[in-house]
Amino acid sequence: MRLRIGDARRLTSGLLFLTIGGFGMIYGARYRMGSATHMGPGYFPFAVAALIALLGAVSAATSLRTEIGQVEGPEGGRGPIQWHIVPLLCILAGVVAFGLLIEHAGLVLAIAAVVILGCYQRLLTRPLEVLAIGLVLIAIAVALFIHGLGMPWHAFPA
Amino acid sequence: MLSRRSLVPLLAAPLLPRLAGRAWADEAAGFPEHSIRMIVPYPPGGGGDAIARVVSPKLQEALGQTIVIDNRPGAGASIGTDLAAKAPPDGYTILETPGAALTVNPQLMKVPYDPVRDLMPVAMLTRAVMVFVVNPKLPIQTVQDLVAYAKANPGKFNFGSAGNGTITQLSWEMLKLASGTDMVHVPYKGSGPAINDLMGGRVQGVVESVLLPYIRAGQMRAVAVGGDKRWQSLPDVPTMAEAGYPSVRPSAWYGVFAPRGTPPAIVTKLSALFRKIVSAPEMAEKLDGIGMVPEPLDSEDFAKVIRDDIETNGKVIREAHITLD
Amino acid sequence: MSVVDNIALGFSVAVTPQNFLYCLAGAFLGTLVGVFPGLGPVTTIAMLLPFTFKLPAVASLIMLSGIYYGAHHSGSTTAVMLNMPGEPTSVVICIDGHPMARQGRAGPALAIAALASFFAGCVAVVIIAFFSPPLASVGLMFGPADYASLIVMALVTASALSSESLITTTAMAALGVLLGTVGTDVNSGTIRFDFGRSALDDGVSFVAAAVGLFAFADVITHVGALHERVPLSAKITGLLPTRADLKASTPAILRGTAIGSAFGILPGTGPLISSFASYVMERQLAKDPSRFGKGAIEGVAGPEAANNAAALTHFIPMLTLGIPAGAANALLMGALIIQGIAPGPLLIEQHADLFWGVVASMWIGNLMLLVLNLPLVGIWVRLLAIPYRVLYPAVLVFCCIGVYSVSNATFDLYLAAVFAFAGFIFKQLDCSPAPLILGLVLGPMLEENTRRALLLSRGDFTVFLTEPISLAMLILAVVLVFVFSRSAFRDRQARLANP
Repeated sequence: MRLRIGDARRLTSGLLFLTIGGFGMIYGARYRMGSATHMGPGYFPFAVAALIALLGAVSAATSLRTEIGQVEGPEGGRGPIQWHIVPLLCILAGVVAFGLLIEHAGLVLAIAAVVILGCYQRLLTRPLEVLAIGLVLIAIAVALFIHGLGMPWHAFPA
Repeated sequence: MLSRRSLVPLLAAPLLPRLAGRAWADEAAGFPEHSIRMIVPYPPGGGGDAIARVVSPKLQEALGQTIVIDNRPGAGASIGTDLAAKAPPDGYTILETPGAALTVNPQLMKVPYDPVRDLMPVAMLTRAVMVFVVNPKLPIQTVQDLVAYAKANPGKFNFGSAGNGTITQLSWEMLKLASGTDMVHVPYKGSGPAINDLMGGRVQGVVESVLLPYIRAGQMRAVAVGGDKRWQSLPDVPTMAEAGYPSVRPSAWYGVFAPRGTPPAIVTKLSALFRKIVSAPEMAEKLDGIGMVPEPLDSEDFAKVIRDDIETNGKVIREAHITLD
Repeated sequence: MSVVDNIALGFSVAVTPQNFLYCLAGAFLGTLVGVFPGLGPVTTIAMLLPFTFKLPAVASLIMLSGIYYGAHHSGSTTAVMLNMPGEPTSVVICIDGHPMARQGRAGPALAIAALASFFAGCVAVVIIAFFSPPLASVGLMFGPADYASLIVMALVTASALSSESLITTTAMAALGVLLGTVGTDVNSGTIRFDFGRSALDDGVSFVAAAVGLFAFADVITHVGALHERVPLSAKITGLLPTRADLKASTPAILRGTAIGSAFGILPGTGPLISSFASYVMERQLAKDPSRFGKGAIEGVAGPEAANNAAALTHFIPMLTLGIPAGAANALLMGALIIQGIAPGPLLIEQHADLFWGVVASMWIGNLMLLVLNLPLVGIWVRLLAIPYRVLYPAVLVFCCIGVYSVSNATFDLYLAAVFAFAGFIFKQLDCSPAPLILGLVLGPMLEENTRRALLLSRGDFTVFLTEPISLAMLILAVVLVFVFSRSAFRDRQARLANP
């Protein structure tokens, strides 16, 4: 049985839902369930998680049964899934860095981290551009938030 | 035999407290040298935020430094309170919060701070007047009517609250316990929806402090005011004490705290200032509009109130079996 | 005093050069701050509240309403330009507004959005002026069972939010609902799914989720594709909407206004459901639904009108009954009270000048928005011409700041990063995030109201059928399921026939 490209996406998403739903059911069941007429805190999450798991299973199952030529929608022929690992990791690292830096290292460094990590591709090829972007953003942010709106943030390391 | 060396400490001894005292006062004299951070453990507009924003401009004027309001909502005020408790005790971080964060929540859930040991009471600012109201269509005029109605309809009277474990629930539970009635608690997310359902007739009673406009418009009927002091804005409404239920004493106050270890001189200075601001006549008017009365208490009196409230609320929580599942 | 006299009174109070300036200042500030997701009207109003103490009551309200509109509208602007929803209600605008921008049609999208807002605003102001008291009592008629059924109906329509398969969109909506259960359960006080961290006690931050799923995921995808030199926007084809645009938008705007005005009256749910409902309606009524999700102007015009109309009628319960229908409302009410004026049924009688001044200021605020934003369209569009590689760091920074500023919580940033990761994966797997957002917001309300309805009925399930409004909503839901599945079926047949 060969998997068509469109199926791979559907199969993956189906399995993903099945897993999430499964976890939801396990964790949801740890809270008091109560009854249908007197629901406890666990009832609703459990029911919804069960629904998600069911839908995931159905989705995955139907994706396996799809024959060639019956692929739904415009997915067929779109090529493999692009995972974009490097941009994914760098940009996420930037957001996390902001979180780590803002409280104790201040706004300036936090923004710098986001810009540097976000522009990872250009650090060596266009460093001045990255610097300019960073400085402009820092200036706007400090002026607007710390001076203009009086947010209780530090600009520089406390 | 006393050598000269041992004489010096002996002679210096009586001077020491005076020297230390002067350093104390000096500390407070120079304070504050830069902006002060006032943590409010509620989102903008919620909980103690309104009071903070009303009081802080006046404080700014008096101290000549900016007061930065830092909203840190979450986890029933625990996040903000914890932050304040663990802040450096130099007087530049203070906490402004309603009482629930300290007298109720720690008894219902685990909080990462000790409300009595980790925070120093600076001053109490105001007390919210909790008014017990019912839907005007009901044949209830007084507390006695209310109790009689509830006894005649066990399990049918619904009272709405701003949520599980809030003062709005505890206050009504106090009444339940004192009168021995069977009323059903319906929790909401905040008082707004509870008020909505009261007017729509889905719940029959609510207790809150911001109900004056509704009462005046006849959309709700005030039955009693919690505690033992009548409210000047509702002069004809009796207190729970007068109605025969002195144990129904909701404690909804707003106060200022500092982390333990903050220099006493600074605490005293701030305390005096806060109390002065809250006692000003224009302030009383503004507060009245949000259902509060100024109640300036200094650190010691405040501490006593806090201890009493922790005990009272603890009792209610146990006897009414209030839990967070 | 006759109504006309009242309106004249209101306008005479509000239309002083001074108040006009306050409004402009407010609108400008609101627009500036509203560009940052998470920094919406509520936070801005809270921060600027003390400034307004010194102003006379009407002036302060006018300024605050200017801020409100400014922030509200710039949420839509960023949704169109950068797939960055500034506010919960702007999420829907992203779906079709951003593709329009990518096609070089940001100008028409923004202009139509401004026009739609203005039109809806005018109509809503008229409604407020003339029909406030009777409409206010409508909100009171909705009990928990009615709300629960209303939300069921709204969730049923989630499937119409995207062109993906019914199973996928339903699963995404359900996932949103599940995420919505994280946090404190209103009915029992239990804290669910917090994994021992108190940061999740109040639930998943909506802003973190929206920013992560939409803005961040988008940036990651495009940066990844950058080396393939896919441009952000094709050649910009003019700033003004074409005749065809206006023709297509007009019915959408009318319908959106109607939906928004109606839903806005219901406290709590109103504005959010309005924009989603309008989108769904436009999609269903369109002759060629496959255009949606790819830049259909109706998908911007309708929801934008619904959004603004609801935002305004949302004030009706506050002004007439004194019930704040939302956070921004509560703040404004606080502002009024501090000025010594208590909103409620007596407001209209005792402070007629204030009530009508407020109404007039709403209209002026709306007008100000048009005045401010139409010329700005040109500037915004020119901003889009900035190469993407310069623009996207700005998006990242603005979003980080915005997410953090909601509660000054670094946890929210980590949460946004997690959602960004998830959003990226979902994008690659053809799962649209819009139903998830809908589920996230509506799910908790559904559970809360269902359990409350059962609590009040003491466990009697039939209450959902015996309450008339609830019954009506459920019947409507069943009808909609029918309609949607039939049109989805037809869509699928059409697609299989013409691949």
